[in-house]
Amino acid sequence: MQPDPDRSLVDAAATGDRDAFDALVLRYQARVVNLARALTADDGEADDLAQETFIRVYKSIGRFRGQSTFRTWLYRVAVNVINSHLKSRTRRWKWFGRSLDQRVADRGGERAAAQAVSPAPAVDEDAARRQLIDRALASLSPEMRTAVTLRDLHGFDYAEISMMLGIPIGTVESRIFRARQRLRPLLAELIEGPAKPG
Amino acid sequence: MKCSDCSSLLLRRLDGRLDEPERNALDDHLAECAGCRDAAAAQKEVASALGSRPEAAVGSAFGERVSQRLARESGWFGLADWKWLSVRLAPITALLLVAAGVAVEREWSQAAPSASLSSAVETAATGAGDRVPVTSILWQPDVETESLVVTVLAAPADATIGRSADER
Repeated sequence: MQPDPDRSLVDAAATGDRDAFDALVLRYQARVVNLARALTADDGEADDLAQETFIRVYKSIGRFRGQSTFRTWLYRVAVNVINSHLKSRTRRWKWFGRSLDQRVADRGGERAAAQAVSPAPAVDEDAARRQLIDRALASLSPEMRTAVTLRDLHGFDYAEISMMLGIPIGTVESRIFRARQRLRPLLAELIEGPAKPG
Repeated sequence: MKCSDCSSLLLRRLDGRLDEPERNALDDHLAECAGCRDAAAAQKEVASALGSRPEAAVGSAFGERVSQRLARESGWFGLADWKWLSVRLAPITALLLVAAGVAVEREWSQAAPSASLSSAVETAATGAGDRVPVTSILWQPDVETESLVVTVLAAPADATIGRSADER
């Protein structure tokens, strides 16, 4: 295994060094928040879930034994926090007669409708690209969305994703393959460029 | 090679994880199968598109919010990982309860020695002349020593017990 670049900070944080822990937060906050945004399609929830992730890491950092890199362990905690939240959100929505897919689709539809009715002012290109990708990801099942996000947005290899999610590598590969197949038509504008009038 | 064999191979090819024989076999199949060629292209295009997602900036206030939450939850009880503790304390608690139960049961059995004696020393009196001093139970072979001692010591000086059926 490659040496863990976070090891010294992790060891210091495990002894109660708050500066070391704060440095780890600063190092990974953007990635964890963006992971939560990609998996929940909700910026507000993403921020809370990212905070919860770091709280849990703080509570248990003393038990981190270095069997994986800190980054892998951190993402595992984040995925568990986010998935627990999504499951309880699904239960709440089912109670009210709405499935998660319906709500996600509604959310995407709301945004699309809003943009159609009132064309957005010049939105920066990065934000537009991010929105398009996040909307496409939101159409996937949570299992496929998590696997393809970890692979293609966060660069984890299949073995790491397998360990993080507790599933065989073959299952990881299958989910990613199917996710990309489903995303291809949704990302056509990004891949092929905007349709030219004609 | 069949198309159904291709999906995992296409992924590995994209990541450069195929060995030469597998790569050659896959390439031969792709040369003849437009469907799999399109699937391979789609895998590459989507992976590239997703990888181009710009990361949204996170303000410096995020770290402050984490610090504030930690401060609110500070203190041993607040930050204790109760789930971790309860999983590990549960077997210890169970052992302590079992040990306490055993200790209580032993205490009860010692306080009631006549219960353990009753099977060894039948005290059904057959008549006024059939009673013997309580110390005679000292000669019973199958009575627990502790129970014996307690019974003998606790008995009044003139206590008698009925002779067992074997002795009559």
